[in-house]
Amino acid sequence: MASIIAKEISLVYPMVGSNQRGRHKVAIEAGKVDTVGGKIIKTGKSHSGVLALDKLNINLKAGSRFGILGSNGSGKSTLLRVLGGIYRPTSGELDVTGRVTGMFNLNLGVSKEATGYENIILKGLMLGLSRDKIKEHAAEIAEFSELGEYINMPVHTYSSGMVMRLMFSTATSFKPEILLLDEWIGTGDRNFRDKVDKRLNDLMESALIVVIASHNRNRMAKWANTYIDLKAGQGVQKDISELEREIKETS
Amino acid sequence: MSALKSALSDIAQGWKYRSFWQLLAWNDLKQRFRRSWIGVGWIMLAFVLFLGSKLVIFSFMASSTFTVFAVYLTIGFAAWRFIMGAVIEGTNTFVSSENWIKGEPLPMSVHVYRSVYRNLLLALGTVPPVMIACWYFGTSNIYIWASIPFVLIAYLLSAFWVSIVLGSLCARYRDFSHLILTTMQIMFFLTPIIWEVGMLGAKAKYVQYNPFVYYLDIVRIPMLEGYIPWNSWIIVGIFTAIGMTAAITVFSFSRRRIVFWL
Repeated sequence: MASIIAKEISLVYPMVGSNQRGRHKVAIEAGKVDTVGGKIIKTGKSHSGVLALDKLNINLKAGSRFGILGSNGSGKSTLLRVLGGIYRPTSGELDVTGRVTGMFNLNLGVSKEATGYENIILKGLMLGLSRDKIKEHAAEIAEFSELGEYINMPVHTYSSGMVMRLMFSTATSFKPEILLLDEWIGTGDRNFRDKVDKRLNDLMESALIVVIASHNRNRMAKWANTYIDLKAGQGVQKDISELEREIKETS
Repeated sequence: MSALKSALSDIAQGWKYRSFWQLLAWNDLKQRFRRSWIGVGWIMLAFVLFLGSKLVIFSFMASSTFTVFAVYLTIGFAAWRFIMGAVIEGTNTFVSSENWIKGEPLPMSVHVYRSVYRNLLLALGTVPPVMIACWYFGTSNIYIWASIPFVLIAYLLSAFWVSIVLGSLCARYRDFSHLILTTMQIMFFLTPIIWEVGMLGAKAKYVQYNPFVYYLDIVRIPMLEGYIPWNSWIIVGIFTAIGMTAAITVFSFSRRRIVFWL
C-alpha cells in the first residue's frame, strides 16, 4: 500500500556562490521573513541558504487527497519535489512507499525536441516496461489526450496546454501509486478539465495518493481531505474542514 | 561510508535504465543534426575533411613516409576525437541533463551513462574512415584486433570517470568548463597527433609528461609498429584506477547536491 510519512523534514537550498557580506548579511542578521520566499539563513562559515521547508510533519495513506496551499515562494513546489524524491530533505525523516510520478513543471522531465510519442516511450522505458507494452499505453494516451496527429510532432511545437495534456495523460496511464501535481491541471480548457477530474477520481478508487500544490483555496476545499497551508516553509497538516471554516469566515 | 555505498548502488541502479539512456542519447544525436540533409553523416564528413586538410599540410613536415603518416594521423585523430568528446561532453554531463534531473527521481548515474553513450555513438562515425585507411594502407595485424576490445573498455571507463568528476566540478563551479575547453584546445597541439615525436629533437623528452600520449600509444603502436605497448598500458591502467577512485569519492559527495547546483 502506498504511504508517505514525513517527520520533521526541513530543506535548505544552498545559495551557490553566495557569501555573507552585503545584502545577505543584512537579511540574516535581521532574521526577518519576507512575504515571499523562505528565510535566508547561515549554512556555514561563509555560505548562506534559504530555509524553504521548516520541520514539517505529514502523514498520507492510500486514498489520501492532500493539498498544499500557500503564497508565492512559500515552499509549495519545494515540498512537492521533496515528496517526489527530487530533493532530499536536509534534515528529518521521509519514508515514501509506492511508485511516485510527479508533474512539477511543463519544462521538466520531457524532451522538447522529441515527439510526443517518443516521450511516452521514454517514460515507459524509465518504468522498465517492454516496447510492446508501451505501445499499448501510447495508443491509449494519444486517445485520452486528444492530441491526434500532434503525437508524432516534436513537443516544442505544442502549446503549453497541449504539453500538459501529454504529460497528464502519460503520467496517469502508467498507473502511479502516488501522483504529485503542481497547480491545477486543465486550467482554461473546460472539456479536458472534466476528463482530468474523472480520471483522478477513477485512480483514487485504486487507492492512489494524490498531492496537489495550488493557490486555489476554494477548489482545494472541495477536493482535498487534508491540507497544509505553508507560510515561509512552515505549516501543519490539517483536516479539510478547517479550510472550509476559514473560507466561510472570510467571505 | 553509507554515502559511498549509496554512490555505488546508484551506479548499479543507473545501469538498469540502459534502454532509457540509450534512447535519450540517440535523441541527443538526432537533435544535433536535426533538419540537416547529411544528418549524422556530418560526423564522418567533418572527420574526413579535417583529416584530408591536415594530411596535405603536415605530411610534408613528417619524418616518416606518407603512408605511415596517413595511418598515424587517422588513428591519432580518431582517438583524439573520442578523448576530446569525453572531456567536453563530460563537463556538461549534469548541466545538460538539468530538465531530467529536476523532473524525475532517476539515479544520478543515468545522466553519466547518457553522456558516455552519446560520445560513443559520435565516435562510431569515425570508425569507417579509420577502417578504410588501415585497409588501404595495408596496416593490419593480429595486435590490432587483440587490442581493440581492451582499448574500447579503457576509453569508456575513462569517459565514465571523467564525466562524473568534471560533470560535478563544472556543475558547481561554472568557470571550469571554460578552463577545460581552453586547456583541451591547447592539449591538441601539445599532443603528438598532427606531428611526430621525432620532429621535436631535444624537446621530445617532455612528451612523456603528457598523459594523453599513453592513451594514443595503446591504439597507435599496435597498428603502426605491430606490438603491444605494455608500459603505456600500465600507465593507462594506473590512471583508470586513480580516476575511478576519484570519481566514486566525488560522486558520493556530489550525487545528492548536484540538483541544487543546476
